[in-house]
Amino acid sequence: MSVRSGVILGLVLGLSGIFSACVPSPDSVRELSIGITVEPTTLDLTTDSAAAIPQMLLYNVYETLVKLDSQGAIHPLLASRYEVSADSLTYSFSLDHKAKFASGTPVDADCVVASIDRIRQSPNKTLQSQMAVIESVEAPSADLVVVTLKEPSNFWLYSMTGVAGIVFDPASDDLAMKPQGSGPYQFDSWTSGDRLTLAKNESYWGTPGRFENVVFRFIPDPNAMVAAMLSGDLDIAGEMTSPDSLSLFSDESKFTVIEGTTNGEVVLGFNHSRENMKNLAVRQAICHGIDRAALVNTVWGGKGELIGTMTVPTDPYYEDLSDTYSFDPEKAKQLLAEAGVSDLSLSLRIPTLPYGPKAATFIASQLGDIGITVTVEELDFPRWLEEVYRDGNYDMTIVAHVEARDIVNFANREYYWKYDNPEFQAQIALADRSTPQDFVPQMQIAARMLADDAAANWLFVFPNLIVAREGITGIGHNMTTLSFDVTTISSKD
Amino acid sequence: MVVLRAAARRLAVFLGTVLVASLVIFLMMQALPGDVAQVALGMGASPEKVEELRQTWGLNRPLAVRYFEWLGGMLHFDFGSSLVKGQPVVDQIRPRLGVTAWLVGLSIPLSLLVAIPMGLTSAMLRRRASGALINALSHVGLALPVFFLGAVASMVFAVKLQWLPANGYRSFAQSPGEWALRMILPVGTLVIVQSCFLARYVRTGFIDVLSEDYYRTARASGWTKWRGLIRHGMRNMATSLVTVVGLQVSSLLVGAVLIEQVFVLPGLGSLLVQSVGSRDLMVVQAVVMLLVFAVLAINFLVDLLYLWIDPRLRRGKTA
Repeated sequence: MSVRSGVILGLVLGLSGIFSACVPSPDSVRELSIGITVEPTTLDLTTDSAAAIPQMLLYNVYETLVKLDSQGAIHPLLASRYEVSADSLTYSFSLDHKAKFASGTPVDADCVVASIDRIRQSPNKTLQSQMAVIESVEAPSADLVVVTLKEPSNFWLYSMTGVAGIVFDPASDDLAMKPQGSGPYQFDSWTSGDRLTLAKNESYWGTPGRFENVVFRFIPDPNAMVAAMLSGDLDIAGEMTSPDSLSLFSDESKFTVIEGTTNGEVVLGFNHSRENMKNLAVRQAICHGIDRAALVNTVWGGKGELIGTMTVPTDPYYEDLSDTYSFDPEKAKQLLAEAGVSDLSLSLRIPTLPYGPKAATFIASQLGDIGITVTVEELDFPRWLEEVYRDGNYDMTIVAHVEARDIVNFANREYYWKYDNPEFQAQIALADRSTPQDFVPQMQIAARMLADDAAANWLFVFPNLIVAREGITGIGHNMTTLSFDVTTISSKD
Repeated sequence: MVVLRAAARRLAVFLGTVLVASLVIFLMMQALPGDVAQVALGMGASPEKVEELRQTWGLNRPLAVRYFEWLGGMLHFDFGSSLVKGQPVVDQIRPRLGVTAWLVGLSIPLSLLVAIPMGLTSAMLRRRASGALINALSHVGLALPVFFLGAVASMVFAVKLQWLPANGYRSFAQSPGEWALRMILPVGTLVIVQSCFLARYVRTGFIDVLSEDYYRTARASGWTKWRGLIRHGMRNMATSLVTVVGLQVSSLLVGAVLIEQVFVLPGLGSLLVQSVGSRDLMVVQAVVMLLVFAVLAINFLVDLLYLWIDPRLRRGKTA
């Protein structure tokens, strides 16, 4: 042993002896610590679209009139019940008279109207378009909110379970740094680069939170997440971005591993405004040319279901269409030959996110086998947003679309895919307007249209991979909303 | 007088460099592809809203106006406000600076405490097996990337032995015990790598001294090897060591991002990475400016230290 390592070891041993008395064991404090990978830059979810904000705040700090559970069913929350008129145009929400904000102010109809107006004026286009169908919002009495729609919309009520439906405390003047809501937890502190802490809302109007504090720790590095979980520093590793390391948590007496699904479709997107990509045979050939099962094995440790269109297993209208274009390189070559396409060369411009580069290399190699030359270019996310998303300067790209029911984006021809299919647009509009009974079959028609048209190649559904220490229960199996809902979680200790 | 003039000249060079650096940094930020408003609004952004937000944040004003506004603000420690958070940049940097300062401030002195005896021993015993072993070990330590060593340390001491937390940070004010516990692994990792590096310089420095005339004279007059080295060798070796330590402090300040990543520490490096990711240019340029300033200030200090260590420089010609 060298002098150096002797000194270090001595130092470590000595100090750890002195301080071991100070280590708070997770069982002794009523604190729930959850590791997540992305830290938002602001907490204002009306201006910033980062998924990390609702991940921490939705349902925990902020509440909505109605809420979505982990199975995808809608439940009352701030509204104890709601009624829909026979023409499906008028929604009457009766507010729970017990409901109040953490500040003590009661949740009344005026707050709800103000909140809906706030969202309608948001610079976020997604939120705006979710609320565009609203004709008027009124508060006939203190505990009744009446929303009238311009036309029937099945998507609207669903949107109200997410960010669009949040009811803000009228006292909140700083959404970016001090969110205020009516949930079982309230915002306590945010140490940039480190953690965001929620404290129990002592005067919560419903079933109180089970922890004194909930701490979200920001751990971008997958190895650090694994180490923190294995060393007992975390109660829950909320997002495992290194699926290969799940095997380290196989000891069931210490850990529970959850493998569910999310709303995140990892999409190989095509730029339909480019001549080559307008050609159906080319798109079909690309889909036939990629072995998605092998791709998931390479890229995401084999976790993640295969899909064939822009739907996920928790969507009510989900159908397994993953076989629409099975892996068949011969057929792909034949399709290209029949269409008279040769020497095809395409750009694949991807953001440097955990799944991107690996998937791109895999795809470039497989498409090379069917005679398509793919040039991969990695861009950091801000640059990707500008050059690919805003300017549409690309042939193909890969991004996970994490928002719920985002199939509607294919009906927006301005969206960065530039997919302009009037038939599909009409079908989505029809499904949205149809009766709740017809909604599912109509959506299935739309979803099949996209699949058959090879509007994109849907690589896989992002899995919901969570590790919890033994004794933690109630974590939602599937992530149906953007929220990491801690209200259902409890600890045995 | 000579000393003062030398010091004054160095100060002028220092201030001039800072000014040039500020312009370069500012222009580099403008050339960066990607737009803060676009990132903030993300995938739900409409071009009109992005433009509106750029307008609100004053990003459409002429470059020169924005540069001089920034420069003028810095003179009284006002780095502007973060575009994304609306919070003064200074308030964001202060807690981060504390973390990085602890890392650097603890690991450099500790490294020297390890490196000087290590290098000295290795120089004195260089013809014996034990000296060669120390030398070989320092080579190994030098070859280990800091993120690898950090990951291994956290696996061994946190995951296997469960003596220490794997990563994360608590401030000294919140809980001194927790703070100390969470600093051991990152500081320890840095000390191992740094001391191996510094020990190489210490060793070479002392070996040079061993062949100097003044050392032979000291030995001939009856001094022991060790006494000769410590009395006469130290000061001679110190000049080169100060240069290297100065460089190391600079590279640690800038390079701490790796260790911060491995141990999830909210230091300057991670703030920089985060702000580049959100294109919050006010924060990026402030942090970069601060780092450049620190590096230049360290060089300036090192120059002054030369004057102090080496009496020859104080008389007549300066280096």
